[in-house]
Amino acid sequence: MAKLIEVLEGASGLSQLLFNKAGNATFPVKVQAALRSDAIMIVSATQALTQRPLFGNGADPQYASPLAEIAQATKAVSALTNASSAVNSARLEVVQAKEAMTAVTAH
Amino acid sequence: MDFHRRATVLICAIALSSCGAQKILVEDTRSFVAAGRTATASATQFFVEARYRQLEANILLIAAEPSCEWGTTILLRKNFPTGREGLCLPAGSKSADNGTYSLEPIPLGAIKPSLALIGALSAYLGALSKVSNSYEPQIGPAIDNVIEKLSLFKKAEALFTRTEPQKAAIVGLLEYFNELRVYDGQAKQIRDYVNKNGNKFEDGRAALVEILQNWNVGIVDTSAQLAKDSLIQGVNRSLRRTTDFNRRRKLLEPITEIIIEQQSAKEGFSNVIELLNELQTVHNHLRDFANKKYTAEDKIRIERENSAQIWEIISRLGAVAKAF
Repeated sequence: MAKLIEVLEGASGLSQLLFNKAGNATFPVKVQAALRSDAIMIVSATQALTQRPLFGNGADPQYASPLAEIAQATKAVSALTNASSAVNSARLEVVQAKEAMTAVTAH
Repeated sequence: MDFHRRATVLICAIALSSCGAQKILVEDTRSFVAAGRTATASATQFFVEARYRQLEANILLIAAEPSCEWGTTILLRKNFPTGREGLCLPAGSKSADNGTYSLEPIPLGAIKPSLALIGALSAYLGALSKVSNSYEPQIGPAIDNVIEKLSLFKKAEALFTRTEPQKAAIVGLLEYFNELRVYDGQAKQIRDYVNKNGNKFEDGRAALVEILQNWNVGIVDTSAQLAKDSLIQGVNRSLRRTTDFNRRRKLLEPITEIIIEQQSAKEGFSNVIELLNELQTVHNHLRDFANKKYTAEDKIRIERENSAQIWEIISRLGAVAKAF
């Protein structure tokens, strides 16, 4: 059982981390741009989840999946080096986290 | 003095003393209500300013991104195959490969009634803290004030999203106060009702906490991150064009400013949430009070402590505005 606020806090921490990584000048410009766009996509998903929480009775099993995806993405991004395989794998985790969040957002 | 005359004097004395006590109790209740309103007005100024900062954050995002234009929402590009693409897609783009971001801050029409409700709940608990030692406690003015603020809050609900349990908790809170209003002036009935139905108060308060927490993390924090990032992007672009120390320092100044301002907006929300949690502590004390037997001295001491705690909460609510 996870709470909506836990998902939002996790997502907010992930986007902050992505913005920080995107500001790392040792990464190629293309990678910086990619990480920045990931950060903005997570911000967008976080905002959407705040405005349209489909479930959310304070402690809802539906939030367990996005929370787990966010934790996984955070771990992958934290360990990010400028090796392209690590970047690709971290970006994939972020996309999955974003999609898991979108799944609990009513459109 | 004959018997009838003495009896008349005695009845008059009791009546006068009772009237005087009632007047003091009503004044106590009204003082809490007035203080709650003043604190709310002051706190509202803070959130008007916080909302302005949030809007400014979004303006910075648009200013820093030449591909973006102002609107209610912007369409964000998801993939950047060459790394040179702009962040925003043109309005009306059909691509599934995008995301939306709202540029609208939390509506003031939602924030104002939320703060007014917190002020009114504080004032109600202040009035309730006086019930223990009152023969005919007059908590009506405080309850009427909460009912008025709850009605305004419910009217504003169309402006923001709530979950079904949050909606139900606010309806439950309104029922609680409408039912409690009937017992005005009856100390035992008030204590019994609060003790038995206090969970409705707690659920309503918890729903309000959740709503504020969600705004703080999901909207205020995300705009702060975007603003900081967009500003850094813009500043870095300008820094590359000059080597002059003073000019470069001037360019960097807004970064500190925006970090401090956004942090302050976030802390404002956190402080108000903390006060709501403290209201719960006072409410728990007041519910416990009805279950236990205290000496008259203890009653007076506990009443003073609860009352002082409420004054402090109201005063801190008013002081939130000083953060800017």
